[in-house]
Parts: sequence; C-alpha cells; structure tokens
Amino acid sequence: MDELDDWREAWHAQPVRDPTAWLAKARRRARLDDVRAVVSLLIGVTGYAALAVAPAPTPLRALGAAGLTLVLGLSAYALWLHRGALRAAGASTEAYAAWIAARARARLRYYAVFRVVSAVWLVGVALPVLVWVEVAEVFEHYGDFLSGVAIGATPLVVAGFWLLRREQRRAEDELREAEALLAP
Amino acid sequence: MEPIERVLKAYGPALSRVASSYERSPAGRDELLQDIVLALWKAWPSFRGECSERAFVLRIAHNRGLTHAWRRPPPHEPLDEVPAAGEAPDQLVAASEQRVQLLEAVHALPLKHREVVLLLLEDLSHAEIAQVLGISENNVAVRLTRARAALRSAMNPGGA
Repeated sequence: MDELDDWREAWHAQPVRDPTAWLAKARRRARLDDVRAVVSLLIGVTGYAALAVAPAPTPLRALGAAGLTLVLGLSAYALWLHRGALRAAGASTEAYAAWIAARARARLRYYAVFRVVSAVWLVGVALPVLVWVEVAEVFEHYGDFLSGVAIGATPLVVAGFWLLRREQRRAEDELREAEALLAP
Repeated sequence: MEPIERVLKAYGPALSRVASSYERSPAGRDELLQDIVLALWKAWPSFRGECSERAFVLRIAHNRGLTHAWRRPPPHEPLDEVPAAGEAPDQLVAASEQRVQLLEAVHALPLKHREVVLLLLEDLSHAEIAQVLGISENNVAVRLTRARAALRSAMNPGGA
C-alpha cells in the first residue's frame, strides 16, 4: 500500500458529523432572510406612500424622502451583492476567489468614498458652527432642527470611522488571501 | 426525500471532513458545517449539471471553508479528536494518532495546497478536481505534485 492509500485510509476513518441534522435550521435561516427582505421592502414602500399622500412638502419630509431613498438604494445594493454571492457560492474555487477579491476591492473603494463624504460632512457641520454669529439669522427658522441633526449625526460619523477601520482591515485581509490563492 | 436531503445523506461525511480541515475546534467545525448546509440549501436550485454533482457540492463546501479560514485566523490549539466507533483500545490509539497527525499536516498546508490534497483524499479524479477548482488538469497535476511533497514533509518532519 503506498502513502496515498495510507493517507486516504486515515482520512476516511475520521469521525464525522451528520449535517442533515442542521437542515431544519438552514431552512429557518433562509426563511428569516426572505422575511427580512420582504419587511424592508414593505417599510420602504409604505414610507414612500406616506410621503406621496402628505400635503405640502416640508424640509423634514424632503429629508425623510432622501433618507428612504438612501436606505432603499443600499438595500438594492445589498440584494445585488447577495445575488452575486449566490452565483459565486457554486462557482469553481478560482472563480469564487476572483469574486471575493473583486468584492473586497469594491468594499475598499466604498470605505474610501465613505471617508471622503464623512470628512466633507464634518467640515460642513463645523463651518456653520464656527461662523454661527454670522449665519444665525439666515438659519434662524431651521436652527433647532439643524443643530439636532448635527449633534445627532456627528457621533455616528465618528463611530462609523472607528467601525470602518476594523472592516477595512478585514477587507484587506480577504483581498490579500484571495490574491495569494489566485497567484500562479 | 427532498433532493437536498439526498445530497446531504450522500455527501455528508465528505462535507464533515472538509469542515474539519478548515477548522480545528469542534464548535467551529459545527458552525462551518452549518454554514455549508445553508450555502448548499440556497445554491442547490441553481445546479444545472454543468459539472458533476459531487464537484458542485465540494465546490460549495470549499468556498465556504475558504471564507471561514480567511475570516478567522487559525487558533494555535491542539486538534480535538473524537475516537471512531468500533476500534479496539490498542488500535484506537495508533489509528487516532495517525488521523491527528494527518489532520495536523493538512492544517499546516497553505490553502492552495490544502484544497487540492483534500480533493485527492476524497477520491476525486484529476478531471473532477479541475472542475472543482476551475483550473486545467495539467495545472492540477502540477499542484498535486507540490502539495503531496508538502504533505509528505509535514507528515515526516524529520525527513524519514
């Protein structure tokens, strides 16, 4: 018996688990994903309907519509990524690694854009604060609303930066590993 | 019986072995195996027979395994081996040692070599390995030569 037969014998003698036991759990998880997608869609459509039947548009409603559009856009992007993930799951290992590398690059681009947009946002918030004495009269009507948005969103942007560092490291690791696998 | 149940019954042991080659801890192995079952459940309707059923199942398992390995750096802990049923005590020790040694050696291989060795150990032909990995049969042969040498050296660190 040669070494390969020895290895095969030892390999096949490993104790194994029966994965059919997790089939019910997989079904539940898949169903939960479907329910989550439908609920997100319903919330989005209901929100749009509420804005559509509302009387005269106000800045708050316009902001709400912009927020909903952003959420729906992100949901659509997530669905598109999910579709890609489904296709890639059954692809060959090389094709899968190429997809992982492309996804990691797209994520790194997305994080770079987020960083620029966040920096612009922070500057945009800081400027009116710095020259508030001059602009207070202009923004008098929306002063409370704008300061609420600024105070509420700034910590979120800072938290986003912190979370981003971790996600960026993860994306960089994935890209490095996938490229190592694809290297000739 | 649903098609997915039949597939899991047929390839369950192979899927379990793939999970054990990408994850050292028993809890992590179970988690990875669950991920593989979920990925298989979702991807199965898209199987159009462009490769063999076994190749498709192993593609999904290896792809999940790769993602798992990339996201979690392997912990430096000894492998937790459960004895197989029906082994006599003296055979049990020797067989268990050999299994652990092989699994340790497989874990020590770079991912590129590990996946090709695993498929070889699962009795796949060169053509089937090429289908799973998406590379030519010549490329499979080259990788296998390097991977077997790496496994041999990992199994016999003294060069015996």
